[in-house]
Amino acid sequence: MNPDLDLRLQSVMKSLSDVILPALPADERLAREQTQLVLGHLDIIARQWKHALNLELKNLALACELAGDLANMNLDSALGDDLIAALAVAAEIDRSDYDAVSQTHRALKLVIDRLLAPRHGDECLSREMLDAVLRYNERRARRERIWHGPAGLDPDASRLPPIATLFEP
Amino acid sequence: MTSSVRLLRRAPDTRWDRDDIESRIVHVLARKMARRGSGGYGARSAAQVTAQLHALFAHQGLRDVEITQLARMTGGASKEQFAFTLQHADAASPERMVLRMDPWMGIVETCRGREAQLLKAFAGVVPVPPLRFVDADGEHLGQPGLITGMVAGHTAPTDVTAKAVTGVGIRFEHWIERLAPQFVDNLARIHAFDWRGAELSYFDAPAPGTTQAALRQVNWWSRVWQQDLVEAEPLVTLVERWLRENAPVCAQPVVVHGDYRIGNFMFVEPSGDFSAVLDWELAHLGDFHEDLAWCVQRLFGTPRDDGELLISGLLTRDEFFRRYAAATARAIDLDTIRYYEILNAWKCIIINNSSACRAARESQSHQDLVLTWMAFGSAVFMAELDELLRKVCP
Repeated sequence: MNPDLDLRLQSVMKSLSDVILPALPADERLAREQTQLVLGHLDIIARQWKHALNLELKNLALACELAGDLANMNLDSALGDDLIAALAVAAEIDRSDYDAVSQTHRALKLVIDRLLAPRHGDECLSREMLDAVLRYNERRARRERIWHGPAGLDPDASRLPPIATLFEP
Repeated sequence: MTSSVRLLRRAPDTRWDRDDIESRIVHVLARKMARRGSGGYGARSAAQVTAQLHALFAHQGLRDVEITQLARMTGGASKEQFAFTLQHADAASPERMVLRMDPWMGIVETCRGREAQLLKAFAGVVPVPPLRFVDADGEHLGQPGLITGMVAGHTAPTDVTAKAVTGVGIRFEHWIERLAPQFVDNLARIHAFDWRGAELSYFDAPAPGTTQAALRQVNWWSRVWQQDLVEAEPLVTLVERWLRENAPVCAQPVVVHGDYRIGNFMFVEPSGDFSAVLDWELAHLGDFHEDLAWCVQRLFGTPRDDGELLISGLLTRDEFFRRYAAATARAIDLDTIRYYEILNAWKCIIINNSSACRAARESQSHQDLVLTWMAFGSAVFMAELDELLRKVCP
């Protein structure tokens, strides 16, 4: 592919920073602020785009792990069946199709969500369930922080490793 | 003056009553849902805003109105804000003002009428922008909005360089000594305010000595999560259960500012005197611990050179609690602080991960780009929530 996506992103960013931003009047504050944010988003996208499918695959795998843990607990039968059905769908999808992976990941998390949702008269949350979700979340939050680290909102942004480390073997 | 705040009696078992939400909040959330799907929202032009201001001032009976020097303001992640100068027949001189208006959807859905009532109630209690006009339901402005007098001051020192989005990450350096005592003192004054004697008809007070203060917040934000959900997060749902099962009793409700932090106060240079406490849109009647726990969130802190986090860039957590307790003679319950830290981190995930992304997906704000940027912060709150839960469930 020539010009490739990196070159096109680089060209767009250069145009925005060197030509468009300086041409904006100083009193057009919203336009200036949003141009800076466009540059910020494009810079992050440039670092992320090659890894987007891999990230969604990892996210799906992690959600499948949690679903598997929950399926092994004594659950309400209808919800347990939904979970097993969603896991079966996840096992069959085309793993090279970003949209399919992303949608399956979201659908699976919705089933997990229904299972965890508080309902009137529920017994207190089981320790087993709590631990499973915390195990899942610890890994997910770490991954998300690294993925979004370049935005600089994270108080530990300077200590987070580069995005590529998420995909090292 | 008699109280116009409704004191709702707690139902025998409110634990799972998800509909126990303040009536005005129910109204604004329903209004948001009614607008959903109505197409994209674009930034208002100067001509549109001027026409809408004329409509409001005509309704107020102002004559010979002149609106000049209208300029869009930046900052914040929710509202459209404009500065302008108003002159009319009965004004002795022109006044510089600020219009704060709702887009169709923002990072949070709140009520300009509530904000206006608080600005009026707190005038003379803590520094606040002077309220001039309010259009709580957008009858004249097209969307809900309020107008205040312009306040002089800065949210960040002009002689310290640091990058910040919506106020997060500001460094105060040599200003700390002057600002930190005022930061604590103004919060103490807000919590000491006698709301029972104020006109706060848009607010419903939780019953003292019950868990209603906490559960009302859980119900409010749980409803927002359901309405704005983009991607389910197991932790959010799990924490909602924990919050319902562990709600603390609030002995005496106070006015909770709801977003008392770095970026939401202004000060003048060179004196360093506070000139305004801003952004009252999340305020409600509740537990003072909620404000303390909001202040100490990591995302609203600035690390010192030695790595220690400064609350709102001003003082350490221990120092903040110590000074607040000394200023108020209130006993801070650390378990309740922990509960509200969990509630606040949960709420921030809902705001950043759900409402911000939903508004941007549906193109319902003038700054979708800022909203998607803010969503990057939700991972920090997820990590924080994880850490907090492990402390309470070892």
